[in-house]
Order: sequence, then C-alpha cells, then structure tokens
Amino acid sequence: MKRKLWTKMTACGMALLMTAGLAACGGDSGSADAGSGANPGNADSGTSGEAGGNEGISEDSPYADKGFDLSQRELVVMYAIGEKPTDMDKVMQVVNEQYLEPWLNTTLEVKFLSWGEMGDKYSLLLTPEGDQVDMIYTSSWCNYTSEVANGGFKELTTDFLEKYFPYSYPQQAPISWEQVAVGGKIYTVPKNNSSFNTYNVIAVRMDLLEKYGITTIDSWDSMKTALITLAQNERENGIYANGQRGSTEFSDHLWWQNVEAEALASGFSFMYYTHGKEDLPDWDKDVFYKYICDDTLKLYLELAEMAQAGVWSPDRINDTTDAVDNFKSGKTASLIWNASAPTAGRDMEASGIGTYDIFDVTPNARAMRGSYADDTVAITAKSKLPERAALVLDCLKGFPEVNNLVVGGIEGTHYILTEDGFRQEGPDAGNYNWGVWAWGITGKDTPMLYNEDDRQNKFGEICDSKEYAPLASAFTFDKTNVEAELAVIDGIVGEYDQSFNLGLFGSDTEAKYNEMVKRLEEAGIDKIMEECKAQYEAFCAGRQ
Amino acid sequence: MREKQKAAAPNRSLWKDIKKNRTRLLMLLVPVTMAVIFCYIPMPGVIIAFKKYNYLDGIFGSEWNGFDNFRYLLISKKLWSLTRNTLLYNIAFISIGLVFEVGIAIILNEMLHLRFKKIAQSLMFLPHFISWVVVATIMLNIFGDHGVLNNILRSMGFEGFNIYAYENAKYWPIVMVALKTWKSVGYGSVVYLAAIVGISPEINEAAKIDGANIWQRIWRITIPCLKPTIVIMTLLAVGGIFRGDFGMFYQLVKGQHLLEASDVLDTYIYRTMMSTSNMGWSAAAGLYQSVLCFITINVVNFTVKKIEPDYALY
Repeated sequence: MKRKLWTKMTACGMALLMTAGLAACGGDSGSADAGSGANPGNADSGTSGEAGGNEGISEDSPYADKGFDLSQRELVVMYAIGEKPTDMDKVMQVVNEQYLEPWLNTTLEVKFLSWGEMGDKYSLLLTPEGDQVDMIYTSSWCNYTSEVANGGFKELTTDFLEKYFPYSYPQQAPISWEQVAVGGKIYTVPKNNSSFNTYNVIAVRMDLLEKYGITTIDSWDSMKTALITLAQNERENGIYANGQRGSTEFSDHLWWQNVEAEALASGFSFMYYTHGKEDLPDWDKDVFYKYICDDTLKLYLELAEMAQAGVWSPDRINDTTDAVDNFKSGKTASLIWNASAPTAGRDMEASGIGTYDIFDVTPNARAMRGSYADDTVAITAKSKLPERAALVLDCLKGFPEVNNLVVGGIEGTHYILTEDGFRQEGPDAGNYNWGVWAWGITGKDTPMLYNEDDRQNKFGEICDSKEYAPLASAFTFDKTNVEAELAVIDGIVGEYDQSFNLGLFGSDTEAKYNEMVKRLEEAGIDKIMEECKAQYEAFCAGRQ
Repeated sequence: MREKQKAAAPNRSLWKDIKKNRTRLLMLLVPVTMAVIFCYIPMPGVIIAFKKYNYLDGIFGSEWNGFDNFRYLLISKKLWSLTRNTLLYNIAFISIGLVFEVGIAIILNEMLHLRFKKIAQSLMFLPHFISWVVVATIMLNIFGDHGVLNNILRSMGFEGFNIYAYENAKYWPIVMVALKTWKSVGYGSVVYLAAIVGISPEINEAAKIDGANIWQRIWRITIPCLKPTIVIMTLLAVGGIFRGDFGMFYQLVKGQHLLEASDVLDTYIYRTMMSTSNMGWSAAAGLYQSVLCFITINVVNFTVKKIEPDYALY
C-alpha cells in the first residue's frame, strides 16, 4: 500500500515538474513577445514627419525644427558582436543622458552577441517572432549578403538616407555606398572610416634575429630566409618561427601584396592583378579566382617548403591556442598582421621577453584601404521604429564628440585627446578600448593614436606613403544567381585551404592542388566566373 | 489475445482500464507531451525545404521553389560518398559497439570480486561524460607531434609517429571507431547488464547442476535471453544511421587533410552552411537525412518482423 502511494506521489511530482519546466520554456518567449509587443502602440507616433513640433526634445537639439515627431520616448535596441566591455554601462549612460535623450527623446540599449553565439543566433535575431532588434552589426564577412537575401534588413533608399541621416549622410564617403550595394540597392549603413586593414607587415623578435646576423626583412625571400633560420635554431628552445598559419583571421595578404593582386569584391574570392595601378582591370588578362592561379600554387609550394623546415608547429591545425597570444608570450618569434602587429610587439616587449621591430615585406607593393563594407550597421526589416533607429545612428556618426564617446569611451578616462588632434590611451583604457565594439560606427574624423615609439607609427607611415585607391574596389558581387554553386565551391575550398596554408601536403602539394582545381571546375566555378564577369562588365559600363 | 478482448469490450471497460492504470498513464503523459512538443509540432516546418524562406513572409507565407534547395547537395557530387561514409561509419559504430557492450556486460556479470567490478564499471562509464572537445585535446596531447607518445618514442631513439600527419589519414577510420567505442561502451553496457540481471537465476542454476561450464552458459543462456534487448537497441540505433555524430567528427578532425577519410553528411552541411544562412538548404539537408533514416528503419523493422515478429518495434 505504502509502495503504491509512493509510486503515485512520484508520478504526480514528475508530471508537475515537467509542466513547470515546459511553462518556463514558454514563459521565456512569452515575455520576449511582451517586450516587442510594447512597441506597436507607439510605432505610429515614432516619426511621422507630419508634426513639425519640437515636443519631447531639448531646445538646443540639433534635430529641432527638422520636422521629426519625437514627442514619444522610445527605446531603440542595437546588437553588436563581441564581448561587453567593462565600462559599457558607464559610457552608455553618458551617451543616453547627454545626447540621445535630450536630442532625440530616445534611449539606446546595446546588446552583445558573443563571437561564439554569432553563427547560431544571428539569424534568429532577425526573425519577426524574436526580441526587439532595431539595428544590428553586419558586414561582408558577417552574413550581410545572405541576410539581405533572407529579407532581414530594411532597404535604405536615397530619400530615406537623406531625410533620416541629416548629419552623417553628407559626410559619408560616396564610394562606401557603392561597396555595400547588393543588386544596386542599399541595406546597411557602412562605417565612415576605412583603415588599411588588409595590408600586412611582419613584427619579428629582433633579439633572436640579431643572434643570426639578420638585421632587416625587405622581401618575401628575405622573410622566408629569416623564418627558416629561426626555425632551424630556435625550435629546440621551444620557440616556433611563426605560429599563425591555418588560422582563419590570417590569410595570405602578404603573398598577394607580393604579386600585386587585390580582391575584386569584398567577401568573395575573386581577385585581380593591379600591376600597381588604380585602373579598372581587364577581365580576360587580370581577373582570376583566388584558388585557381599559378601564383596560388606557387604560394602553396612556398608554404610546404616552410612547413618542411619547421617554421610552424605541424600540430597547428588542431591547435586552438591564439596566434597573437603565442607571439606576445614568446612562444613564436613573428607575427604577420595589420596595424595590430606593432601593438602585439609592444605587449611582448613590455613583458620583458625580447625586442621587436616592424618590417614591410613588400616595399614595392601599394596599400589600399579596406572596404567600407567590412563594418556596417543595418536597420532590421522587422524594426517597428526604423526612422527612430536611423536618427540614433545618425547622431552616433554625425557628431565627432558623440562618435568619439561611443567608439572610444569617456575623454580623460578611456582616452586623452592631444592638442594636435591625436589620441592617447587614458588611465582606464583597458575597460573600454578604442573601437572595442563600435567598429561599424566609426566616423570620418576618428583621431589617430599617437605614440612616442617610432615603431608603433611605422605601419601608418608605410601605408600612407604608398596609398592608392583602385577603381575596382567599388565593385560588389550579387551572388543570388549562383548561390548553390558558390556554397559548394566554398565547401570544396574548405576541405583543402587550411592544409595548404600549413603546407601539410608536403611533396603532394601540386597533385593535391590539381585535384582541388579539378573538383572546383566540376562543381561549376566557370558558371560563377561567367556571372561575375557579366556583373563586372555591367559595372564597368556604368562607370563610363 | 488480451488486446482483442479489450477492443471488443464495451466502453465502460476502457474507462475502467484508464482508471486502473491512471498512475502509469500519468507517467506516460510526460514523454508523450515531450514528443508532441519537440517532434510533432515543429514538423510542418519541414516545408521550408521547398520554399525560398524570408523573414517577413515567414514559414508559411514564403514563396515555393520546388526542389531548388536540394540543388546544392546534388551539384557537389559528394552526396553519394558522404552518404556512404555516414552509413559505413554508423554500421561500424553500431556493430562494434554492440559486440563490446554485450561482451562487457557479460564479463561484468560474471565477475565475483564486487569491488573490482564496481571500479571497472565506473572507469568504463567515465568517458561518456567527457565532451568531444576534451577528447580531441587529449588525443592531440597524446598522439600529436609533441604528444606523450612521440616524446617517449623519440627519447627511446625511434622515429616519431604523428597521427595528424597527411600520410596517416588512412588510420583515421580506425581511430574514430576506437574512440567512439571507448566513449560509449560503458554507458551502453548498462542496458545489457540490466537485462542479464533480469534473467531468472533458476535457469543458470539448473544448467550448473547439469554440468554446463561458463562458456556454455553464456552461449546457451545469457546471449539467447539478451536477444530481444539486442534487437531493440539495434533498431533504435538504426533510426539514426544517416546522421553523423557531428560533435565527434568536427572536433576530432579539424585537420582538413583528414577529411577524405572522415567527411560525413553533417560535417559537409556545416562547412557549406558556414558561408550562407539559407534556412531552406538546412531544412533540405535535414529532410534528406530524415527520409533515409525513415526508409532504413522501416526496412529493418519489416525484416525483423518477418523473421521474429515478437522482436519488432512496431
């Protein structure tokens, strides 16, 4: 009898527990709905443009007398990628209290999507059923074209941009709009400050190099010699010459600089030889697919040779340690990277591990600023407050004081402005690094970092001295017609590229390369190139 | 027979049955609710596989696009090799796992030293709780270029052996099967151990008195008594035969040169999807796997039913 009672009680308990569990699951989405459901009532009163009144905003608001209806207080939610900086709340409080609330009667809330969640959660944020999301970071490498195809972002017409971006639209570099256009339409607002993010230099341990009488690196071959010398002598001390091959963030910029080739459309693998000129390339002679080219094979053979010499760890492919940390902590003797290479060198030197210097491996190559499409902020198609979100973005980008606040934190605390317009790190810089999350918002007049150490300024000097702006950098590719082929091609490349990058195929490199090319051809690379050619020719015709 | 009687009986007796078994039915309510919520309610979503999905029109409002979403699977020309890899790996996992699980359950059951038995069982159970990420790291630190194995080999004057090297890709199918078995055998053997414990001790005692030795008892009593459990467990495993263990394949084989030996449907779909967020494609791939699994399990169940109707799942 007792036993029966016990069985009954257990069953009832379990059933209750389950019901509670399910209710909790449901409750979550319920409250989310309630959150976004709070808006519709106010949506109409967002910014109809009819009322010219300045109700709800302060008298000195730059948005006064512009015909916006800002009488209702609204909450705009923006998603950024990365981890939330320590002083985020402090900075956002200033942004809201000093600017957005008095000027636009709006509160901005920035939420973070961590790097780990990006792949899984990004698309979910754009579904109409989810939480309130008015603006979200996107870029050529972060779902931009595919989410445009899914209808995730609001189309921004010129009328809309002119009306709701009254301060930042006139400042925005015209080419930046071309770089984010998909099929001639704009769906996102690019940053207004493009840096030399694709030009790479090498930071190398000078204390080690000097031991072997090497004082400078000024070409691909001298770099190879230096790395192989380091590999032969330092490997037994537990130091690899280089530790970054195979990591996705370090691609082959140095090599393409070396052979004077640039990417044709940001986010895709079409390339062309520039011959150091800014002119539009001749399709038949100069354009190629990154993985089908004699220079690609040459690169892979070079890498196989370096791998053979032990320049990097043969386990690198399964090694998840961070390449930059490895250099900073003295486990590797060199780091090939952009403007961040000197910073890593400085940190390494500060820990007392050794000395560093920066070298331009390709002194004859020219340097191009990165695409504006690399960092942008889009207004979501589901946003109930697109106009208000646009005005917030305009405010963040259109005024240097607001922009510096969002990008770099509080002046005097997180950064210090020098008299000649440079910036230096402030006492609390670690809690809100310059550009820690707001890469998609950087304005035109972002102050440059000033440094007393010449080596820190070397990267900027190198790039500035040989800057060029090839006309083809305005070309964008619309993948709609060849989406399936492109995905298959990416899949095939994905099977090989890391292994090639690490030189793992050794003496089989050429055979493996030919195998990859054959498979790419079978999977329809020609169809993709034809499509790209047609779009490129239309682009060229539009230019004339 | 009893079933038939029940069906023929008037409604009153059904109500009586429900009343009589109300506690059991209440307990059944939980898994049934789970299955309905997580398996049946999302099912209509499968139509995304035939649609050009966009957020604003939603699942039901988006435009139909026929079999377009399946195209990328076809033009890759890898569908056959991927399906074959997935199938062969799973057949190896299921069959080798079965042999080890049953074998270990029998050995554990025959063990007389209680303490050793408990320790052995716990140690075998342990790998089940280790995530593939950790397993991959352990592998790297033992079998990698700087792993323990290589250090020992080199210090003894032998040549190193790096399992991650391109020329050693051929060993990976064995490595995979060995690791999967190592990880799942302890957990899997519990079911069989429970079934063995459920075998009436009288049969074994009678056999002992008749002079049967340990092998004869295992072969003639334990294994035949385990047959229904083995068949049911295998049928359940066959249900997922076209699904690769993504965590395992992805974590263990980051090295792409090893892919030739280890590319399964799930890893391929993951690689392709990384460059796009086309929900229709993911749904298409999922549907392809589900349909194959559905066919397989029906065929296997049908075969079992033909041979031994009592052992079939349905």
